[in-house]
Amino acid sequence: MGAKKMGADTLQPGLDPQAWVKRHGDALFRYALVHLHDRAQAQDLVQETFLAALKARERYAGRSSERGWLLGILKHKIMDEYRRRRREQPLPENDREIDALFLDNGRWREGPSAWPDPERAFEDDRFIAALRECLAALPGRQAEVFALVELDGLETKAVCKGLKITSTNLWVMMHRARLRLRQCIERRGFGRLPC
Amino acid sequence: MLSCRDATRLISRRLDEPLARRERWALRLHLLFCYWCRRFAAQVRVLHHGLYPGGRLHRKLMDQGGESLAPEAARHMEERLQQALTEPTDENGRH
Repeated sequence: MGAKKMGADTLQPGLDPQAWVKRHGDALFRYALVHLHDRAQAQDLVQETFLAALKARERYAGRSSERGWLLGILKHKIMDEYRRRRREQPLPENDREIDALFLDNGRWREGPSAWPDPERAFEDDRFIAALRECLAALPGRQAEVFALVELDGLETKAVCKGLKITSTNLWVMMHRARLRLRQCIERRGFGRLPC
Repeated sequence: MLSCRDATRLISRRLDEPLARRERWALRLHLLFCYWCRRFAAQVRVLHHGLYPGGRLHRKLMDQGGESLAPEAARHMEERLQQALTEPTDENGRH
């Protein structure tokens, strides 16, 4: 067995751990924050990501960028965190707020109002701020499933597997999350902008 | 005839996976007559495409927003990394 000497002198080419915090700290933190909506927890996960990456640096094959590689590790940590949360609080979700959107016969109680042109809305910082707040306001499970499917673009099958939920459950969560997000944005005044 | 509640369910799901033919037709028929669901469909589609990786909303959420690591947190992380880097043993505890 060839004894391997590890340490600062035998780093994988292309990785520069000393510069990780400076180069990627903020980006990873923002990514974690969008998924967790909790600064302390986001910080912890970023820290864990760096340490895990350091341990696994031998396995960095250089196929992705340093950032992409670190992000991949962070994504796993986020999924673990979601799973852990779900174990701790298995609440059944009977969504009164969503039910209230529709009448008993299933028709809209109050239909969606018109939105401004997305081209313009996307450039509007207030729209982005509202979106950020509304994402943070989604209830736990809906927020998690929505982030994995919509923000990360994961296959729904992978999300079901990762979170250990059924596909029926996933579709219910996505449906509710979209109804809620849309309504939340509208409530913040974006339904009534002049178009 | 599909209710609006059921229609929104299909509208949401079709963004993530193809619907069965029967569902597709039922939804198409509903949308033909339902102004509100058409609007709902357009709005969630805009969010869907914007939020997807590479989408403009996605980039804005991840890039700007003035969020950054607190300086103390960053310093702490650097120290921990440095500490871990200078630990002499490898993963298997061999030299």
